[in-house]
Amino acid sequence: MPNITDEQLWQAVLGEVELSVSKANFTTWLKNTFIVSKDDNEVVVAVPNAFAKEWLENKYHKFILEALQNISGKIEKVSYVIKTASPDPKKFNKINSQKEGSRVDGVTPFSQSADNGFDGILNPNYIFENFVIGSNNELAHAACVAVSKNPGKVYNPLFIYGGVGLGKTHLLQSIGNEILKNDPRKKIKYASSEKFTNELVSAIKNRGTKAFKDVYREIDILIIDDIQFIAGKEKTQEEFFHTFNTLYENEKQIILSSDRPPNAIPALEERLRSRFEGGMIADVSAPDMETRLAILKVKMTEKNFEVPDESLKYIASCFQKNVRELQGAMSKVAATCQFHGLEPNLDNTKKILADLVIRPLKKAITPKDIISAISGFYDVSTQNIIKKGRKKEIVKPRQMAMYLMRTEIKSSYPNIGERLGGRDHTTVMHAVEKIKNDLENNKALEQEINLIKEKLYT
Amino acid sequence: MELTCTQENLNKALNIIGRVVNKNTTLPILDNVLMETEKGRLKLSSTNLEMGINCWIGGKIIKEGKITIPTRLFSSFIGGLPNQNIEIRQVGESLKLSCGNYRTEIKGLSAEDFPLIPKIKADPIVEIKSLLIKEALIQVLPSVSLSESRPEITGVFMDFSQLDKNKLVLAATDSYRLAERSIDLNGAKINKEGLNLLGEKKSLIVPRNTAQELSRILDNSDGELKIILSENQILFDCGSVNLISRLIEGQYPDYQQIIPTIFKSEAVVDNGEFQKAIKISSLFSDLKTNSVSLKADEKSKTVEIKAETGEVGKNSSKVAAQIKGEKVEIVFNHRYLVDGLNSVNAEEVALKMNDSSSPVVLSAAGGKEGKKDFLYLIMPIRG
Repeated sequence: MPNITDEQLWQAVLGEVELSVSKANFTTWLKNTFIVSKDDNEVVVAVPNAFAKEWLENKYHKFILEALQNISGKIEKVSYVIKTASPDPKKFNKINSQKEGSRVDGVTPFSQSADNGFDGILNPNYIFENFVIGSNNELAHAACVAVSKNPGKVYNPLFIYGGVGLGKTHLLQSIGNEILKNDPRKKIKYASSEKFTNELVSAIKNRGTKAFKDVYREIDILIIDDIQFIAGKEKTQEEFFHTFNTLYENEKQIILSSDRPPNAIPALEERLRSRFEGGMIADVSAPDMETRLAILKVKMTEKNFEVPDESLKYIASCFQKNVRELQGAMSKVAATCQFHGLEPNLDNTKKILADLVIRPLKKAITPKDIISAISGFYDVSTQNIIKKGRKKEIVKPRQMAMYLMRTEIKSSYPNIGERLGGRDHTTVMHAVEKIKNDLENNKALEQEINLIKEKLYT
Repeated sequence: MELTCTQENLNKALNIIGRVVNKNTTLPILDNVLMETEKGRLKLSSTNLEMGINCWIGGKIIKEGKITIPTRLFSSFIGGLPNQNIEIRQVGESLKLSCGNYRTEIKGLSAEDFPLIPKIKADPIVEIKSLLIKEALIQVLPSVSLSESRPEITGVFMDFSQLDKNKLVLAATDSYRLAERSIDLNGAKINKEGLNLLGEKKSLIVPRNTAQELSRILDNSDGELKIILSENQILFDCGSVNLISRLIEGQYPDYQQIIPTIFKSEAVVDNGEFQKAIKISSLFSDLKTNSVSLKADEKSKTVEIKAETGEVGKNSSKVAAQIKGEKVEIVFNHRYLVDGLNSVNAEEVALKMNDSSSPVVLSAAGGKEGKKDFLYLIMPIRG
């Protein structure tokens, strides 16, 4: 077979040998082997240690020779040498310095290769190709694609926000995967803000903050998921602030996600908020009917399972707010039908999803729940909400509380007024009317309401 | 396979080879010991793919054969038997044993799948008294680095470059302390041609586990140890036991340059007294740094050992000493100090010091030529 590289040849040989030996033996003896040299009729194979050498020479020689002959005809002789896979360090350094003159000196070549795809946290299944675009996430998707093509140059930082299960993580990881695909040498750090905090805490504990700083400040792309959780953690915010600045100044891409826009994250330091808002902010919201159908169809092709349109429509109409639940429902239908040999028609689909759909969606909530949810969300105390006083930062939460009491538990206006410190029913009517109007014009407010509702009902 | 051997011999052999076995999940057969008849003796082998041990014991071989048996079970079982003859018979993939009133059958695995322990066919480069190597290994082993971050110091350094002067040097360090022992090769057989295998460096690095096993295998008898080399492998042959291991690749640090040659002060103390005082002080040392401080003063003719921790309390003790040179105070990790004093292996120890930030050298005191062969160096804790 002409034009086959040594590596391809060896992979093919391994593939053949794998069939004839047990898995444990295969991994023990053939891991880290490769072809060192090859001429017309002799192949020299490198093995990691003398035990492997003995074993291959005495036990697997026949398999290997046969496989080589099958693939590459003329081979008559195979010999084995002990050699570890790491390339000659001198040579490696040389290549390195030629190719990547910009790299910091003193960083050892081996740690570099380990850094790629950082900690293996990037999930290779999250790529742009399988992300379904709809009107709800067009902007976010476009921004992410732009960033992945040109990291650090356009939209920096990129801030994506949206509710639970709407694809934030998918988008974030897709950027990481896309960048790695284009340039595998890029150092990408993907972490949740919790992980960032934990690493910082353990660094402080072990007195290794310097190492921590170095790790975070020498990377090309920083992706932090669920950034809202650093709210209220002062030291983490400070450290993040410095990391942010260092990366930003060096034109390194920063990508953040959150469940709400920066200005709605309570207890976030002003300097961080303004920085988050300094780049591009894009939201992903709940998908519309068409998008949901499209998502289901993609899922259907993935699973290789045919579902009639009416069933799809039914699923899409039942799960409106959360893509993850939508996909979960689809998986459930597919799995149950395959398992029991059912036809995925509308009736069966309804039966299968019955327990998911008719769950007690609205647990009984009380005005008290609403007030405490509001106070938690806006970080104002319950007393302040009830107390007299018309400070701006309290008025809005109070009006939200009134609105929610009216729409969610249908309390009467006088009753709401009573609950909130004996206010007049006209005050309440005005508040509800105002929020209703604002909602029509203000997307961010809608987002906020949804988040508070999420809190209420979970 | 069918044979008879004594419980004592089998038990001893299993104790030697059993240490190499560790739970291996990818290849379960590595938990087993290979038993094989060979030239009228029984050969037992085990390996963890880093090193392998072969051990031969005598016995009456009735029928040739080979089998592998779970090491842990077999070893515990044989250990519990009375000291009598054991009759061993292989039936298919099981082993039937009878000893005294015990009748046992142990299930094994085919010997075909057991790793082949590499063989080295070469002349030994050195043939030396086992005891000398054992003693030297025990002295340097505590200093070997446990951290995998620098693989080249996770083993014992064996330097053959001074064979002309009849010297073999063993060294170990974890970058906080260093132990170096030179072995006098007078009377040992040396094969200089074999050295070419070592290349330019004329030295090699033996993994810590291998060195540790070797020190245990070597007994206190007068036996000879043959050291045989091949590419990346080393074989220690002491007659009835063979230990073969990979070597660590890499450049051992050039440690000679950090050993000071001039000292400003020197204190000679009684090893036992001094260790006792340090152990007492260590109770009061800081748990994180393990620090104790030493103060040597020519006038007072004592070394003062001090330790203090805020929440525990403080202690100071004085040990009589012969002191020459300047007054000096240095802070150490007490563990390193005690390890060193133990390794020096002499009744009187000399502490050679410069100032609070330079390394200190421990060695046997006195002019006796034979004791000049070991030195232990510790880096101080800088305030």
